[in-house]
Amino acid sequence: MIRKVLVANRGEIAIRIFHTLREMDIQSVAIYTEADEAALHVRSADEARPVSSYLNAAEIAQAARDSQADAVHPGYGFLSESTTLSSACESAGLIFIGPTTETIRVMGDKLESKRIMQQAGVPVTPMWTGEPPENEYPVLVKAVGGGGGKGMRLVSRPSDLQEALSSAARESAKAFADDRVFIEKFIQNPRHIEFQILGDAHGNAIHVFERECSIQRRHQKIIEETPSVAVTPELRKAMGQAAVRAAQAVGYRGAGTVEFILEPSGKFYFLEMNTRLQVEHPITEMVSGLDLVREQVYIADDEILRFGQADVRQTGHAIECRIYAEVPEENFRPSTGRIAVYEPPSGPGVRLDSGVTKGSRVGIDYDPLLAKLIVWAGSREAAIERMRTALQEFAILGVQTNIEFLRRVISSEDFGSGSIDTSFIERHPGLLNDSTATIPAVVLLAASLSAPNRANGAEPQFQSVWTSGSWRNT
Amino acid sequence: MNRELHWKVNDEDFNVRIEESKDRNVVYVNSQPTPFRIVEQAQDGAVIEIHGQNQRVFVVRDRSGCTVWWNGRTFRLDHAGQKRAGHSAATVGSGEIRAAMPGKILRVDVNPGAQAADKQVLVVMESMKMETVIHAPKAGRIAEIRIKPGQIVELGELLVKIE
Repeated sequence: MIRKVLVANRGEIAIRIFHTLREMDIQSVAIYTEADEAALHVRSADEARPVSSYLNAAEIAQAARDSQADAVHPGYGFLSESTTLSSACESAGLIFIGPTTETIRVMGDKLESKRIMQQAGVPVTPMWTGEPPENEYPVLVKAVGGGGGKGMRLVSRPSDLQEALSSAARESAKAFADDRVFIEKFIQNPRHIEFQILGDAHGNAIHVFERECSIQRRHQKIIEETPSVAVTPELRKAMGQAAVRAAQAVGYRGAGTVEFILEPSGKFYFLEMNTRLQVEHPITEMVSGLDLVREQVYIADDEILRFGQADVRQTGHAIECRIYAEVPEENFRPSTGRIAVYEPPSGPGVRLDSGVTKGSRVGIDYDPLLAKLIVWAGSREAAIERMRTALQEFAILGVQTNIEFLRRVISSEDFGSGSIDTSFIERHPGLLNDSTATIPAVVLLAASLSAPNRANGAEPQFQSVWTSGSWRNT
Repeated sequence: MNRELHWKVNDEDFNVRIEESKDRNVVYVNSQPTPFRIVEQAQDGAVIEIHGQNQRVFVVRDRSGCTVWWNGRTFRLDHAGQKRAGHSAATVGSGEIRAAMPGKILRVDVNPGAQAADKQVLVVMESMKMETVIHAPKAGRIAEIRIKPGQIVELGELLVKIE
């Protein structure tokens, strides 16, 4: 019986997991690095312990033991797909909330996982370990231990291969402590469709439908939705069955994701299996009514899956937008600073999984994901309207964010009609800049009222200007 | 109480004059008048009524100007006559190569005085675990290197000068 869980993560995902733990009456333990001492997730758990790094498995296992936790939840990223944490937990007598070390090892090896899937009758993309034939370009260089676009390079000419291989190897060594890379056929304009799976320790496995994750920048997802407009009931059945076969091929235990790429022709290929909770898991929760973290905890506690395939339903439509501290107008460069204004949206069908609040510092140390905005509505059209409104209401100042860019994407004609694929952002460069950049009088007025009054020779006193009566209600 | 300010927004100049009196407040933007009323105020924002409509705004000030949020959009305003603190990456004309993002320098591939080819890799930096390779914007001699591996740089900081 799990009574206390250490969450080996930070930001919005740590906070999201704490919510479920609290619901289940399970104690929670946060960990934090020096840079995160004042971070929101540290205050959101029942207790918190310092670590030198979110990548130090031995220290994390020790922190779990010291706090008398009986289980460790890895979240996503960091050590969630590294065997070092799952095996450190095993040797420390802790339950690792995730699949077995062997499953993580095999699925973390992007080459071996494909071989296993091939054997299980799941279609896979062509790949090479040496130089690919010239007519196969463009190709993708990918990290064997990778994910999330890190350690990944698109190579269009054989002459660029070497620099791409070495730079991808360096990046992946840093992100995943594994510098092996391989080369894969680059499929033009595919859709990225993934299936949520749940498997228990007793051999049962089901899928909880698809997520469409085609809107990406730099190979990182920024908007996800479910159901996918490209997935017909027949295709859903075929892909869902392939996902369950993939889960069963490795005796999958816990919540996982089988990623496919879908060609315009309707052909699909296994891309990889993510042996963890996915960033975009909330949209699956919105349409299925499940709490995937709760199911993860039950499965880790050796319980039998509480439902079969026929019991899970897909109702309505859900969309997630990832709110990043970045500047889309300047090639998505990260933005840093202190969040001075934080006004989250609300309303029916609006969910916000946030890792920050007013006063939070956004530094260069970690991924610039601030929050995930998720909406649910009865139809895709209604969900788009709801997302557009929620993005419009969402005010963050102090760091630059992609909120306006997301709103332009969501409001675009092609997104509305569902004609999306992984090159959507490249094909719509016009969305990168605001074309209606006229400045309304109210903006100039607000700026002027808050500015120091030079006419009086007064020093800049922003706060007193706002609060002391210059802003009179006349 | 009256006040007058000059703003620069996307290279466009705006003259803003505010006339507040007991029964009427007017803002003049480049002499164009708009009456307004402050409905509500807080430390970092306000609700302002213009043409009978309530408009919610948030403002954050900094040294060179301010950022204003209104209706889902964010506007950058600079005090006219002031240059905005370091922006933009490589300025090809001047040969000054600046950091396009805050981050850490991983590698410097050139030495001062060396001859660099167009598009040659000069510096590799990292921000939030993402690597960025900085190429020479043109062929030329490396006049100056301002950074070394391991160094943390700010957005807009000068990295390398090329002649």
